[in-house]
Amino acid sequence: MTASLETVQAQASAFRSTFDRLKAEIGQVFVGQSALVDHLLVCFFCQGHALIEGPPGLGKTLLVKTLSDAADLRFARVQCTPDLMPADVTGTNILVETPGGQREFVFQRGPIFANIVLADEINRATPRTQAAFLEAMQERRVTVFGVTHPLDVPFSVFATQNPIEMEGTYPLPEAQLDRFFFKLNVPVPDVADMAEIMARTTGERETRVARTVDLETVRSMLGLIRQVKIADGTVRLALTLVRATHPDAVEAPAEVKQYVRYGASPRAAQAIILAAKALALIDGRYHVAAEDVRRVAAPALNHRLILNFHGEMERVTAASIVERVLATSG
Amino acid sequence: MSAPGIELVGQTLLETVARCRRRMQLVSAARRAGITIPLAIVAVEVVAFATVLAPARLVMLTAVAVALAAIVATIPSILRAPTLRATAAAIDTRLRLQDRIVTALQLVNDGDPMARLVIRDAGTRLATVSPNRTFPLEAPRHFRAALGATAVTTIVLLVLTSGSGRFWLNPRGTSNSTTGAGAGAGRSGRSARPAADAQIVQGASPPASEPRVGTSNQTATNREDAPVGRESVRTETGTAAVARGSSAPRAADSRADAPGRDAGSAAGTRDAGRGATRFAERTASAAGGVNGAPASDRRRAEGRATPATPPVDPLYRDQYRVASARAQTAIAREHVPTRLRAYVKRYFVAIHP
Repeated sequence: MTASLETVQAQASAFRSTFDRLKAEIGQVFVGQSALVDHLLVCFFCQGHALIEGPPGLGKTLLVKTLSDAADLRFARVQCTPDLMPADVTGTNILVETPGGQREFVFQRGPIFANIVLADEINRATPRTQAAFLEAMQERRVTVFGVTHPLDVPFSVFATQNPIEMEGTYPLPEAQLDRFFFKLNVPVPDVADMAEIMARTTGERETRVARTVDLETVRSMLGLIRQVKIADGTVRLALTLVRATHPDAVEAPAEVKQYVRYGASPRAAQAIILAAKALALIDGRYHVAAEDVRRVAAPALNHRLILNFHGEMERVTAASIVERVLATSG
Repeated sequence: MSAPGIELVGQTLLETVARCRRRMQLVSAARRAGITIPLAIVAVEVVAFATVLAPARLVMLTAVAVALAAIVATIPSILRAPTLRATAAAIDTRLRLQDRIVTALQLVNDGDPMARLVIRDAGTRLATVSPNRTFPLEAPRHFRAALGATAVTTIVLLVLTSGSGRFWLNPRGTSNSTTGAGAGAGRSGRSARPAADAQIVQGASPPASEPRVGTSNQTATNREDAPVGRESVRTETGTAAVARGSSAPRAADSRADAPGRDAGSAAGTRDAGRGATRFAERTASAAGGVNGAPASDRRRAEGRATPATPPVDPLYRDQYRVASARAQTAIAREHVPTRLRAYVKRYFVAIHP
C-alpha cells in the first residue's frame, strides 16, 4: 500500500513536470496564448481530438507541429482539399510482388496511423473524406477492405479550420463536431506577443524545440488522469452544465431556450470531467475541484451547441451562450 | 504514510467535520436568534404598552419572550442540521480548499491509492483548522435593522410613558384599562398634574375634562364674553362657580347624573357645586368605600393662578391625602374590576387639590 501511494505520488509529480516542460518547449516557438496551449496539452493527455479554429497566419499548424516535435511522437499532416480521398487518409491495399514471385495485397498505412495527426483545413475536405476521419477518431481503428487496423497510442487528431473563408468548404456535420474533445479558438495575439513573434521569426536566431518526453513516458501518463478522484457534487455540476445547454431542460437559462436548437451530448460531460481531472493533476491535486470543471466547460461545450434560426439571425455565439450557462449553473 | 495512518487521518477528518457541523448549528441558531430575540423584545414592548404592564411583569415577560425566541431560533438548527457533506462543502468554501474536504469525505472508505492521497491531503489541511475560527459568530443580515427596531420601539415607549408613568399606574401589576384620561394623557404625551399622592394620581391628567368644563359652564352661565383658552376658561368657570354658588348646579347635576359620563364630566360638574360633590361621593363609594372630598369647590382654587381664586384649604388637602390613601389601599387589597379601578383613579385625579 505504501509503495502504491508513493508510486502514484511520483507519477503525479512526473505528470506535472512533463506538462510544464512541454509547455515551456512549445513556448519557445509558439508565443503567448497560454490558455490555448494548456487546453491543447490537456486534450492531448486526455487522448482527445481538438478542432482549432482561427484566421490564417495565427500559428495553428505551428502549434500542433511543435507539440509533436517536443514530445518526440510520430507526426503526420494532412492538407485537406476537395479532391482528398479517404484512402489518402486511412491508407489502402496495394498490390506488391513477394520475393517468391507471387502477388498479394499489402496494406499501406495512411497518415492517420501517426500519434499526432494534423488535419489542416479539414472543412475543405469532402464529407466522404471527413467521414474517414470519423471512424478513426471515435473508434481508434481503421477498417480497410474488411480488415481492421488499430491505431497507435497515443493518438490525437488536431484539425484546423478557417472561419472566414467558407466558400468551397464542407462544414463539419454535428455528429463529427461532437467527436472533437475541445474546440479551441486562436485569438489574434496582442502587441507584445506580436513583437516577440517578429523578434523570433525575422531575426537570425533559429529556435529549435528539444524533445522533452518520449513515447513511453507519454503512455505511462495517460492512465494516471483517469485515476484522479472526483466528488459526486462536482460530477453533478458538470452534468448540470451540460443539461443547461438543452432548451427543454429546466436548468436552461433564458438565452438557451431562446437561441439553442440542440444542446451538448453526454460526450461533452465526459470531456469536461476528463479534462478537469487533467487540470487537477497539473494543479498538484488528486481530486477535481469545481473550478476545474468551469475552466474546461467552454472549450468542451462551444462546438456542441447548435443555434436555432433566431440565434443565427441575431448573431449570437455559442461562446456567449456557454458563458451564460456557466453564470447561471451551480 | 501507512494504511493505518491514513485510516487515522480519515477518522480525524470525520471528527473535525463533525465538530464543524456542531459549530455550524450553533452559528445558525445564533444568527436566527439575532433576529428573533429583538423581535420578541419589540413584541413584548408593544404588548406592555397596550396592556399597561407593571415593571416586574414586564421584566418577567421579556425574559420569557427572549427564552422562547432563543428556543425558536434553535429548533430549526436542530431539525435541519447540515449533513456531513454539506458541512464539508462549507469548510471547502470558507477555507478555499477546492473541494478537498468534500471529496475526501466521500473517499474515506476507499482503498485506492489516489483516494488515500486525497484523504491525506485533506487531513493535512484540516489539521490546523479551528471550527470556531472557520465558522465565527456573525451578525445576521438584518441584525442591525432588528436592533434598530428594538431601540426605536423602546425609545418611543419610554417617551410615551415617561410623562404619565403608565407602568406605575397599577401597583398590583394587573392590566389596566386603555381608555380614560390616564391612558389618553399617556399617549398624547401630556404631562400629568403634579400630585402629592403620587401613586394614585400620577399618570392621570385632566385635559380631557377641561374643554368640557369650559363648554358646560359657558352654556350654563350663557356667557358671551368668555375668554378663549383652556386655562382661562377654567379660571372663569371656577370663578363663576364660586361666585354664583348655586346658580349652576342644575346643569352640573344633569351632567353628573347622566350615565356614561367620564372624568371630564365629573370634573366639570364638580366645579359647579354640590351636585358634583354628590356625584363624586357616589362614585367613590362605588369604587371601594372611599369618601369623596366634600370641599371639591374649594380645592379647585388652589391650582389656579387667578388672584380671585381662593387658596387651597389645607384641610381639604389632608382629607384628599387620607381619602386617596384609603382608596389606594382598598384597590390594592380588594378585587376591583379594571374599569372601576380606573374610574376611581380618574375621580381622584379630578379632585386633586
